[in-house]
Amino acid sequence: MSCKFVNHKFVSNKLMLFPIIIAVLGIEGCTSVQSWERGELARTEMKWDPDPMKSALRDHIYFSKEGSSGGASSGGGGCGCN
Amino acid sequence: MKTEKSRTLNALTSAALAIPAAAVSTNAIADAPPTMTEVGYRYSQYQEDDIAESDKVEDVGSTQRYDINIHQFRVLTPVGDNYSVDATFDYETMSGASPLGTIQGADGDPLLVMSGASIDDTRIDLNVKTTRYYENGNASIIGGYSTEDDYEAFNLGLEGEKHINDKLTTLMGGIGYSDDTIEPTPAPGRVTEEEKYTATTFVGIAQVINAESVLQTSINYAYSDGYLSDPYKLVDQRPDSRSSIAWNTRYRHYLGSLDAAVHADYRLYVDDWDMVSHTVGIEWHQNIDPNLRVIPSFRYYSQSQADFYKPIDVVGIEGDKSSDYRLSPFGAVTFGLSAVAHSYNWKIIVSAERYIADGDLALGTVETEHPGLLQYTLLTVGFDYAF
Repeated sequence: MSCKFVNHKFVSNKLMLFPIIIAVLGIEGCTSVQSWERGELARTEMKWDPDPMKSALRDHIYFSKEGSSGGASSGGGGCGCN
Repeated sequence: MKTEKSRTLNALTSAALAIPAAAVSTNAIADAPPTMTEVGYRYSQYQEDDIAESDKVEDVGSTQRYDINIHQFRVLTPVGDNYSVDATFDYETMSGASPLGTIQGADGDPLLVMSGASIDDTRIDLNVKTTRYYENGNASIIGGYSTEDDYEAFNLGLEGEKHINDKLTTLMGGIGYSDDTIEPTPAPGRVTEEEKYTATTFVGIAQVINAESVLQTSINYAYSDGYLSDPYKLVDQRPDSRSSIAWNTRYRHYLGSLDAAVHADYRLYVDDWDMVSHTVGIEWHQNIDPNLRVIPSFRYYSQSQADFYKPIDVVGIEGDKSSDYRLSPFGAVTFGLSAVAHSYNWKIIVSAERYIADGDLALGTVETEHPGLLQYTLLTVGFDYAF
C-alpha cells in the first residue's frame, strides 16, 4: 500500500515565489510616509494580531491537529495532541 | 525527492542566517507601554465530528472524537513608565476517543483502530511576558508552564524589536527553549517517562509601504530533540530529532473608501522529515459602524506526508514508522466569521469557525486518504475591558 503526494513538489516550487514577489513589490513600493500620515496604520484592525487570544488559540489548535507549525515568536510549550 | 527537499531546507537555513537578528512590532507606529490595564476572557468550545462507522474497525472503540472546552484569561498592564506585563492563563478540558492506529480493511484501504470514548484530560497553560520599551524598540522576556495529566512543559523566550528608518522599518528577532516531559498512562510495553527539548529562533523585518499598508516577513527555525513519538499509538516510532523552517509573510492593507482592513498571510514550512506545507490566510476586517466590526476569514492549508508515514500499521518492521493522520498528506480549509462590538474601553467578541480536512483538498494527489482526518466547528465568546 502506498500513499504518495505526486505533484506536491512541482506546486511547491511555484508557491515559494509568492512571498518573494510580495516582498519585492512591497520594497519597490516604499515611499517616505511622514509620522502624521500613519494614522490608518495605527488602527486596531491593522495590527498584526488584533486579537492575540484568538491567535494563540488558533495556533494551539492547528499545532495539535496538523503536522507543521511555526511563526514569528519564541514559541510556547505543551501538547494537547491526543 | 529527498535530496531536493533537503536542498530546499539548506537554502532556507542559509537565508535565515543571512538576515541580521532583529524584529517587528504588533503595531507599526510607536513603541510604548499600554496606557491602560486590559483584562480579557474567552470561552471556546469545539467538537470534532464523529468518525464514520465504516472508517473504523467494527465493534472496537468509539466513533465519538474529542469535545474540547477552553477558558482563556488575559491581563495586560503597564508597570512604571517603561514596562508592561502580559499574562495569559488557559484552562482546557477534553474528553472523547482518539485513533490508536490503522489496519488494512477488506478493500485494501486503512481502517481506524479507535480508543474508547473514555479519555479525559485537563490542560493548564500559564504564560507571562514582560516587555521593556525603549525610544526605538523593545525587549521582552517570556516564561511559560503548561501541564496535562500526562504531560508537563516549561518554556523560556527572549524577543526584541528595533525601529529604524524613521520607524518605517522594524527589525525583529528572538530565541526560545522548551523542555517537555511525558508520563503516559501505564500499559504493558508502553514507555513510562520520556523527554524532549525544542530550541527555536526567528528573525524578521516589517516595512511600512505607504500610509495604508505594511508588510512583514520572518523566518523561524526550530530544532526538537528527544522522544518525538506518540506513546499511545499501537505502532509509532519517529526519529529522535526534527529540524524545521517556517517562512511567514504577512500583509495588512487599509481600504479607506470601504473602511475595511485586509489581512493576507502566507507560510511556507519545510522540515527534515520531508514534510512541506503551505498555509494561506485571508481576513477582511469590515467596520460596520463606529462600534461594530465584522470579520469573515478563510484559511487554506496543505501538507505533504512525513517520509516514514505509513497509512497502515505493520508490526515487526524495522525503522521509523507512524500512521498518525497528522503526518499524512492532506489539505484543509477553515471558514470563519467573527463580530466585535466595541466602545472606548470594552469589547465583546463572538466568532464561529468550521475546519474541514480532506485528502482531496491537498495541493498534490493523495492516493490513500487517512480515515482519521478531522472536521470540527469552533465557537468562541468573550470580552476585553480596559481601565
